[in-house]
Amino acid sequence: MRSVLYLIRKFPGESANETIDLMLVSGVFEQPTSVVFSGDGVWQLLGDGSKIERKDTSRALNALPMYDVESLYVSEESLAKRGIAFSDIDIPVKAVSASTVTELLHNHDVVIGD
Amino acid sequence: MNICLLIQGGPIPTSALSTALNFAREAVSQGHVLYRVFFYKDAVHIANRFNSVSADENDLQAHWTVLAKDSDTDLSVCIAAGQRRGIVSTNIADGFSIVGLGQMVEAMFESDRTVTF
Repeated sequence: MRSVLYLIRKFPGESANETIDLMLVSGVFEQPTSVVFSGDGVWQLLGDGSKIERKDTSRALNALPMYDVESLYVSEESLAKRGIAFSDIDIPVKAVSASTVTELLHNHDVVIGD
Repeated sequence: MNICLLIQGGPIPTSALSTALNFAREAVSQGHVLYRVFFYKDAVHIANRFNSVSADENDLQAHWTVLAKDSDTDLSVCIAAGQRRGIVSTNIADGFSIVGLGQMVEAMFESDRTVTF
């Protein structure tokens, strides 16, 4: 079974939404799946998009553990650069350093960006 | 080696489809097997049979279907991404098939490499 890491780097929008759909399917197929939120992708972890006519992805992200996707990470540097406090995130992610993100990229068989 | 391609960039705003095409041609010429080419996100626009290209432009859709035919490769268009953009069974070009996202995950399992564009 090949492990996959989804790398969310873009502002929330349709591109990230469709990557989230793909990661849910990875989970359904019991593929070892990790997700890294980095760069502007960290905005995906905040707020309810439906308030500004976007899809509310927080429900899908919160549901990931039910799909056996339990390895969610956020780059602490990306949060710091944007002045986002980790405590403002109510999605079960783990804050990790840039070197850990690099390690994760090396440890997975497949890396898919958004 | 079995190779699967995941293409996400649109044919007009990005060069994803032409870069992937060059990669695919080279992979086939070196004896690799293209297990599946999966068109996702804006890349599904490549499969619209109403796409019309002027004579002095590159007909990417035709290049893809020729490559697929010559190398016996599946050109798979994601059904959900297609529906969002109006690429459905009534306007899908010959040579492309509409499949679910599970086909992409299955291709990742079956391929030695997954390459994204």
